[in-house]
Amino acid sequence: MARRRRAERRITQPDPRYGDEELARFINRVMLGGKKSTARRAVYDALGLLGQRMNMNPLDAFHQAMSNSTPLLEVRPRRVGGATYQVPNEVRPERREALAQRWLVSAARARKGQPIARKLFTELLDAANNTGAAVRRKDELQRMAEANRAYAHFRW
Amino acid sequence: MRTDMLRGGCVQPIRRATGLLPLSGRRPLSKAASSEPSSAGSGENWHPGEVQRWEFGRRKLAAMMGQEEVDFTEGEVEKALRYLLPTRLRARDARPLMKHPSHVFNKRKESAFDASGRPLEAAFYTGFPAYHNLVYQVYQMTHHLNTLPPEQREDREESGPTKFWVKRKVLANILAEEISEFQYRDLVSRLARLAGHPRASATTEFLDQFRRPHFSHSSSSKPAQPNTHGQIRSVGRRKSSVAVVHLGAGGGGVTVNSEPLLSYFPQVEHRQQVLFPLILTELLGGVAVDAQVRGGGKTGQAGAIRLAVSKALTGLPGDHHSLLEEAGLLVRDPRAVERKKPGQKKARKKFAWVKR
Repeated sequence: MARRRRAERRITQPDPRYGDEELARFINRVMLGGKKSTARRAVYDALGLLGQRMNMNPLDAFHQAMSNSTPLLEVRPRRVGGATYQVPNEVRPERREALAQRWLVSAARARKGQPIARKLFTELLDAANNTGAAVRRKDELQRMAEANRAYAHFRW
Repeated sequence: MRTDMLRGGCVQPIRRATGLLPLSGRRPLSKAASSEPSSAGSGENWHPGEVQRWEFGRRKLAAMMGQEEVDFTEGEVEKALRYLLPTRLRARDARPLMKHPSHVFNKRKESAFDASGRPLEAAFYTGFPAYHNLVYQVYQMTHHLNTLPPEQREDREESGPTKFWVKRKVLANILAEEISEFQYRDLVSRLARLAGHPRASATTEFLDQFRRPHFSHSSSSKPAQPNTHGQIRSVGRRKSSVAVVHLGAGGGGVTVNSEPLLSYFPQVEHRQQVLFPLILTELLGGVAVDAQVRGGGKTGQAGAIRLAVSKALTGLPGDHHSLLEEAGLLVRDPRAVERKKPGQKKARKKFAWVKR
């Protein structure tokens, strides 16, 4: 949370294999302890399996999974007249991507007993089919937004 | 740093001009007028006596170096200092210095008063006569251009290499007056408006006083010519790694520390880094690259080699410089491991915060 100035947005280098920036950012999220090579390997393996299973270009499959996990609306707390309401609001494009990726990675990590590449693969597969923990997270969030629609006029 | 022994124009620390000297046979001066040193009207811009001290030092040095005073230029002074007082200090201000006062002191105003004690400048009492005069000058020129009889043909300034407005400190030096940030921005916007006028061509000379050419830092010395073996040698650094690359004519072989590229850099990403400049300039198969690299880790080494290769490529015929510059390949990545600070666990990580 930048206190003084607006904190510039850094441009990420596109992924060396598929040339995709979004994927590169995803790899960075998967990375732990600065071990980029391990993260890359895991993601590429997952992508490979994904492409094979779904019979489509792995990059497209990845984007499919991403878009199914991307929330459009979310709720943000706001205090009006003593009470705190959950106000529904649109999600900024950068934040959309961030949330989707975060959920995907965390859902994958939460799975039991498999190497991370496999976990990523299964999670992405599910996401592309609109199932899986990440997509569920997104659905819940959007449901909350719809539920609190009454306060939509408070959006900011 | 005992350059005071030379008694030349050495300047650490810079002394202030002190000033009240007795007046003789003049009208009673205003408070402002009397605060000026009497030498201020003498045409010498710098602190009185500094030029003499510089001269003295210069002559002494010439004698020490066994050279004729007449031929002993400022450049010779510098060389002599480097010889007599070698230093490995890196901070420029810590090094021994002896320069002509004109390089060291800011311009001081000539006396602002005439013989009868009245201020010369109409704008004297604004406190910033030079600033206001300049504003008025620019206004006059702009107004003049605006009220010219209308003509079809535009008469803009010639566009040439990009030139930038002078910096605030420099402007203050030119005007011999202190310029605040606000005043500076104001002046620049006025000057810019004048410069952009469709009939501004006659003003170029005036405006050029306040402009400086674009100073390009990157490879300010055009990269070395090939050596006796017809190779171009260049150095690249990245984060503790140093790479020395020799570029020669011939097939596209790339060697790192006497190993083939493939074997030294098993990771694709590293090979890509090394080859990127060649791909961009489409010289991939046309040059032989021999790199020696030390220090850091594989990734840093790859980056260092990339820089070295890029630098070397500029020495080849054909304008690769602009292409490489555009791609950012000629920039030495300054990011390096940040130092650990005392009172903190690591460079940024702090100790656990306790309320009491």
